[in-house]
Amino acid sequence: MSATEAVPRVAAHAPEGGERIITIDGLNKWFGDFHVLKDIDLSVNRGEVVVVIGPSGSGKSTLIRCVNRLEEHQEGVITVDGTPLTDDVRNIDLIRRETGMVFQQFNLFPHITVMENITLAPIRVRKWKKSKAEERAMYFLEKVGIPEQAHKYPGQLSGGQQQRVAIARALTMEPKVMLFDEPTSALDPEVIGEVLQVMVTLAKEGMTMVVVTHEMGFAREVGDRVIFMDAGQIVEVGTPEHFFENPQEERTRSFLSKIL
Amino acid sequence: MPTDPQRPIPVWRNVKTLGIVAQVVFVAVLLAALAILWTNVTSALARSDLPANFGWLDARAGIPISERPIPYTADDPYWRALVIGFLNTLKIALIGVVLATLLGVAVGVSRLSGNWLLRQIAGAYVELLRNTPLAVQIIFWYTAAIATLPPTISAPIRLPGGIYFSNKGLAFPFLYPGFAFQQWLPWILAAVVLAAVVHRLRRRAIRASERPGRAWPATLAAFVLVTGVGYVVASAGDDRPADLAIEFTADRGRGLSFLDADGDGEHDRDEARYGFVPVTVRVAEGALTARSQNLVEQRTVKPSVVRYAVLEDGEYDAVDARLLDEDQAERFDLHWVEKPISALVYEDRNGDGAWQAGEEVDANGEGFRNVQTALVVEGFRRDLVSDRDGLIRIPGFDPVASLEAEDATGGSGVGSVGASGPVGLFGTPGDDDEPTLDATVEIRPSGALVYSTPTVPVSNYEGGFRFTASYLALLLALVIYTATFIAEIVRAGILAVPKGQTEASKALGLSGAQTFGLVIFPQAVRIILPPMISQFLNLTKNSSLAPLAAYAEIFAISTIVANQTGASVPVIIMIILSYLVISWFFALVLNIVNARMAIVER
Amino acid sequence: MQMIPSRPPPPGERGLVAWARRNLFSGPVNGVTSVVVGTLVLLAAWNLLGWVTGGASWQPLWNNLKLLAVYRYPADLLWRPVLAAGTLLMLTGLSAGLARHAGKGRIIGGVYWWFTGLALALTAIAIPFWESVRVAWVAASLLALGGYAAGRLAPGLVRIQTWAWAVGLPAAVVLVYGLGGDGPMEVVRTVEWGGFLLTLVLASVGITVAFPLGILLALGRQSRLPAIKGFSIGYIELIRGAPLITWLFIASLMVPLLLDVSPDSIPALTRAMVAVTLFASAYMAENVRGGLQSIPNGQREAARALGLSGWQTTRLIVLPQALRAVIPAIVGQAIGLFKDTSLVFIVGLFDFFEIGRRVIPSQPESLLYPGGVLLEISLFMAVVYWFFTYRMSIASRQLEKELGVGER
Ligand SMILES: Nc1ncnc2c1ncn2[C@@H]1O[C@H](COP(=O)(O)OP(=O)(O)O)[C@@H](O)[C@H]1O
Ligand SMILES: [Mg+2]
Repeated sequence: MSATEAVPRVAAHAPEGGERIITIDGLNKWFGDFHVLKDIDLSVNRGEVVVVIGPSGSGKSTLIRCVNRLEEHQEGVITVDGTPLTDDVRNIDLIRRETGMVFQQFNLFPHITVMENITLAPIRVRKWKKSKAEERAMYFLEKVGIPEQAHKYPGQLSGGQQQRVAIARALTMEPKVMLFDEPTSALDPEVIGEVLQVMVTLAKEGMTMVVVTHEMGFAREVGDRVIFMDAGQIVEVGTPEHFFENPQEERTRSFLSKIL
Repeated sequence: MPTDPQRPIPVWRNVKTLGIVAQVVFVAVLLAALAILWTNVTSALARSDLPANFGWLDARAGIPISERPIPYTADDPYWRALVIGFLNTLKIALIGVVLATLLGVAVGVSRLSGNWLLRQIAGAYVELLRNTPLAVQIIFWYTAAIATLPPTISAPIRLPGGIYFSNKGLAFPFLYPGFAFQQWLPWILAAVVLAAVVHRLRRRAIRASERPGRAWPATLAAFVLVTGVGYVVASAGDDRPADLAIEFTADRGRGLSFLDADGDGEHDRDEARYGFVPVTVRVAEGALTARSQNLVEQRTVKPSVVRYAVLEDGEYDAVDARLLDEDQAERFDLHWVEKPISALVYEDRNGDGAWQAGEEVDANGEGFRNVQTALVVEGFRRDLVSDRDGLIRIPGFDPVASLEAEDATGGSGVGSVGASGPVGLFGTPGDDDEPTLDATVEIRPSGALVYSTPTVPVSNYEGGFRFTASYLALLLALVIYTATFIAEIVRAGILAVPKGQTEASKALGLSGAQTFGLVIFPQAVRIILPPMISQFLNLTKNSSLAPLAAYAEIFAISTIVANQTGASVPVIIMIILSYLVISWFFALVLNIVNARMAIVER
Repeated sequence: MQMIPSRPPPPGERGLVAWARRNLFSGPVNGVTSVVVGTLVLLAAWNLLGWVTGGASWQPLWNNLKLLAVYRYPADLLWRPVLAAGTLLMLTGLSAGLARHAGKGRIIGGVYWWFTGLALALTAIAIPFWESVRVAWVAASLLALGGYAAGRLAPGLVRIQTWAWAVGLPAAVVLVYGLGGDGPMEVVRTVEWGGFLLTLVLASVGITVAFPLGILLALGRQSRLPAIKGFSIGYIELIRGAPLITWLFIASLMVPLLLDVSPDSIPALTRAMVAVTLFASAYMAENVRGGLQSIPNGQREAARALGLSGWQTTRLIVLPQALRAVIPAIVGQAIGLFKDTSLVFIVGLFDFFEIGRRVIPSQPESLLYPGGVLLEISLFMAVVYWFFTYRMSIASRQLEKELGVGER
């Protein structure tokens, strides 16, 4: 951990008293010589909805991809639901099982049906019976509002439907945390709403969520905390109201003026 | 490095070390396998006592190769034979690549032509020949060339410009360095430098003029001018080496141009041969003898044919053909098919003094073979150029006197003695009693270059430049086959340029030619070139099917060498290395092209 | 406002003359081209036809068709390869029928019909000569057609499809090779094999064995482990660096040395198969790599995020998509390999090509013809090869088109 710091570190810790499900301490990551994440301190309580905002290239995606080890970090400690994210394959598998992820580009598997997309991991990873997996899959498909699409191929669905399938796919694994990386950025404006609606419902049901998004309406409705990142570091943390009413940092204000 | 402080992670579960463990296992298994194979090979080699080193490279190869870009005889060592093989691979690959590109582009463009017929034919060509094995195509062309083209000594197809075409290949006039070549070289060098300067200046002028223009016409003009003036100046003097001499054995029709160091007029072992000397050979009077035979030509049997070495018009004052054997002379007559090259022996059954169809065969339909004839030639003269090794060859004339000796003894053959027998017809050099041929050789002047035309003295071409039938058949097959793939690449490349590009340039007011040249072509080339280069490589690798056409490239020669020496492992290493070098060369070209062509994209 | 009724186009826009004017004579250059090219083509076709029907000597070819088909395979056992062909066609038919039933498989159906027709027509030529073929031919026809019908009518068979192949393929091999003893199933050693039979064996074994090897090599080449990646690249580039004929030659010399056994103990067919397979696997690897590279990284990430292991990700997510994308390329490679089997003459095998090139022309009867009969034979071989490869190349193009708009 770097000891010499010119700027004060902004720690984004969850309120005391809750059950910590993600803790990140002194996280640093480099791509080659490029320092993408700088001294990130962050924690999330069970049931909390954390919204991460910031300009493009500020490291938001990299941050949440470090949590399930899609990116490997070089310094710092990440713990998910008590499991430290080490080089141990067993820990990595455990954490990936407990975190669901939704991507900007959906990343559905085009060669298998929606149902097979959803049941693949429960059957292969959780070792569920096929019947159970399909039953749970139907449950979540209904939840995201597209049970009738179960036996179509992803290519036959609209963008909004695909993203909802992706959410259902992640949920069927019954994760403890859901990570969203700009889930609505690749969508046509008229279908953004349907995806956000699913996410709002999910949040209201108490799912722990870390959401990278610029949908400030979503943040205001269900967000517990908003984190503003820039140039690889956390610049400002606060409630959604704090950000709407009186953001402290100049960089935050300039950014918000552009997206609002 | 984040680790769990409590417990160290087991090696087989650690993502960092997991990969290392896997690689160690992999490499260990690989090495073990290689070690087993290696010991197998060494012990097998030790037992069979085949050469496993390269010591044999310097041994005499004893492989006759008719296709040799550098001097070579069967006495030369193995390494030289292999070098020739490699050069022959390059020789067929380079020309093949050029021709295949031309044909492929033409066919590819034809497939997009507005002309329906052309389009269909180009499509049929591609579909038919792309889906047929190259090996079949090679033997087809090779058989077609050998079986359907005339053999050289008969009547080669003579094309305008001194070109001969026959089943011995294609021979055509060629320029070789002459006496003054050395004097010309500085001029060429100067021309290159000047052309570079002119090119640069022109480019600068064009840029300053701010108009489109081309620099190469001026560059070319400068180059041609200087080399041309240089050629005239260099060729003005007489630069022939002082001790240049010709040795000529008239009876065998063979000679040699060489540097006569000791001035005795004869070629000694240590005297250097001197090639490409233009000479004029004269024979005051001589006879070309030939017997009639049944020839298979263009897949049919031609009975009772007599063939003499090829004499061109203007190479002789008078010719006269006659039958040598008295009995035969009574029975048969000669009919010119092509004077003075080929004739028919026939039996004048109806006594009209001329040949009728059917008179060249007997009652059984058999031709008359072994009828002895001679062509008496007066005032033969031929301008020719000795070859790279200084060799000079003319048709094998016999002294006319020897024919008369033959006539005198009568044709019975019984009791004919010594030199006067039929053997004498073919000359026994060195026999003093033998009448000798009256022949002279004279060196002609030459400039910086000499113009060597092919001639057909005996069974094969002399002079000029020659592609063998093997080479041509293999080249044809490779070009035709590869061009189908290139055509598809070209077609796809042109189609890949969006239609909007044409529309946009038309909308800007560019003409059809400008649209193609400035907009479509530059974009299509980027798509076309990389796969095209890999087709070039394919053509080169496919030239290894040469044994099917009896062409001696690297693979064909390597197999012979491996058979003769038993050194399979070293030969295999050399084959692989040769082809890897070629492949790397093409990969390099491809990388350069790709780097140059890359469209800047965001 | 009144609608203007549609009128027919002005005259000269339709009809044969108009078509010709547009496509053949649309300008002076075009007109001259059409006339010249048309004349040349007619002349060439006329001459070729004249030669084929008049000048050419086809007799040695017809008299040696058995050599071209199977070489020295015993005549009284010919029913076995015929039956093996029937088995393979039955399997293809079953798969084609099942796919057709599912509303797919237009392409494989077309291929199946073509090859069934071709195979039955070609083997029918043998019926008048060998008693043993007659019954087998009928049986093979029934097998081939029955397979398709079964697949079409009994979609339930889809469950045993894999099993059918798993049993049928070895059965075909056993039929051709034999089991042992002196009876009808006596072993026919591979030195007796040849002709088109050998060509088919070489091509199919080559492409089948090269398929898994090629996948492994392609995965190895994409690996992040330097040793494995380096080995794969080295192997692929080395093999692709030199032409197949050299590898055949090398295998014929080196396989006995590498195994340290006497050269006679390894049949030429084995050596050729080693070379062909190792060669094809390098090219297969490059084809598969093309497919692997076409899979966006997000697919892998999504799978890993779901908790699938690396191997599961490759097997369940990446490979199925990658392989589907490269089916046309693999069919193309199979065509190439089929053509390339003609090079096994270098190891002394008598495949279809070598029989035509060396065996038939040296038969006494062929020597009676001045100038030989190789021209006729090479033309015949070209036609036979073409009938097999061209249909496959059509299928490859159809697949390309279908996958291009596919289910993505
Ligand atoms: N695999 C990678 N290799 C190198 N640089 C990367 C890689 N992934 C992301 N980056 C860089 O890291 C920075 C942060 O990326 P990212 O986390 O995607 O930003 P955000 O999601 O906030 O837009 C960007 O400048 C990006 O270019
Ligand atoms: Mg991002």
